[in-house]
Amino acid sequence: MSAFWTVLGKELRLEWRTRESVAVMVIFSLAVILLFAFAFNAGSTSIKLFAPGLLWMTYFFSAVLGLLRSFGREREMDAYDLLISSPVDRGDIFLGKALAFALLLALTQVVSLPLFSLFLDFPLATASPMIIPIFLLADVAIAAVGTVVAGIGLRSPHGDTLLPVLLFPLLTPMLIATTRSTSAALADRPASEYDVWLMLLLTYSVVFLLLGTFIFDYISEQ
Amino acid sequence: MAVLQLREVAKAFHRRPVLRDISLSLDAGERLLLIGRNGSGKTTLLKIMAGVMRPERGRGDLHGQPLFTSDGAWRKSVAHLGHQAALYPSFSARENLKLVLKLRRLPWNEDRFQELLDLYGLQGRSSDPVGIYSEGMLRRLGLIRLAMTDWQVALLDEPATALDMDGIELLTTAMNLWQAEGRSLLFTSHDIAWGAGMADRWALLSGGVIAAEQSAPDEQSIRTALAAAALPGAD
Repeated sequence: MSAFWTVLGKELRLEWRTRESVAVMVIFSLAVILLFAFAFNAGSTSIKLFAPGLLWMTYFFSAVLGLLRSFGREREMDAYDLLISSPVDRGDIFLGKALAFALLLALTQVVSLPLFSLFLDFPLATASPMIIPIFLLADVAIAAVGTVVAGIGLRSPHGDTLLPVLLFPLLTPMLIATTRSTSAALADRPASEYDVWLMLLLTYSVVFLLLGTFIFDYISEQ
Repeated sequence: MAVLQLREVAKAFHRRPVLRDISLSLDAGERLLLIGRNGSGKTTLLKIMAGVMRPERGRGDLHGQPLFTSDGAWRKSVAHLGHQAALYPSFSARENLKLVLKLRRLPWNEDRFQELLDLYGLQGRSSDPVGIYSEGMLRRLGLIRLAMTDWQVALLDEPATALDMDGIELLTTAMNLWQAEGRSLLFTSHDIAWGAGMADRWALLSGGVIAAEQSAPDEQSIRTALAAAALPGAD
């Protein structure tokens, strides 16, 4: 597991140095928030109905942009070869990259969620505390699936096109579960009313983390 | 005694075979020059041996340890210096090399690093991001990377490219030192005179196979082999 910590540390240090992935994710999220704030009346019934869906679509596309930047860095100077030619379990490389990206996505949300709440009358203050595990699980799921797909794309000349094309259908069930859970948690409904969606979210995160750990060895080589 | 052996290694890109049936061995302390025309698969073969590419077929062993296994343990004995630096441009030389050593579970030795920076003419540049280094400086840093890691077989793809005369001398000295330590080198070079002078043996890669080999290489034999590989039908 030492390689996991090394890769996780490398990813975070690289992001701290360049701030590229988080910057692009935050800027995109803020642009969408402003767009919706002007397009809809805050507090209207329609925005309350659609807000969780809008929120997660925003974070989905933010994640795509962030993943493209994050894996784009691996292409420069063939830096990725430094990782995969090392004598380490490539499952650790996957876990390090995926969890680092989940942290960056969470950081993007920490910055943008208060603005979502402010401009789109998102009832964050009165939401159930379950909203935190929902966001964390969703971030892990997006990062796990995203890292697998971006890892495949890294070895393909059409990788940048492949990422959104493959990622969206793969994440659709998870995005539905997240949207439904978020919607219920924002309304402060008891968790028993949406535990099916939570289970789906949890299963998605665990399955893709395990799958990525096992298949990253095969997808990381050309 | 053979340190590294490859048997029946094959690789194709988009169904076009680049390597058809490569069988090759490398002795302890041997320097083998891999020659071939552009596109003959030299870089592909080195990348496969470095664990960066996966062969479609074939097997090999290094000190009796099987190659191409998923645990990656064999990669600890192999070092690779490719066309590109394989370093993170935003990181400094120190950060990049610390990362390499951490992934190889080797301790960091600041004194050794400083000594190598002085030797390879990169003193005062260790904190600069390597993205602003020139090609020659990146090559020198690659040599420092090899000098700081523990390996048995180094795969050097055009190591003399972009190096100035002083840099080539440093490379030559390093290769002599590594050979004296009993380490093996498999390298490519388009500088035939330099390559012939550095190698104990050459192997010609043509048509996806090792088409010819010769010990005690001389410049003329390499030129003759390359000319024969360029003839129509040689592939």
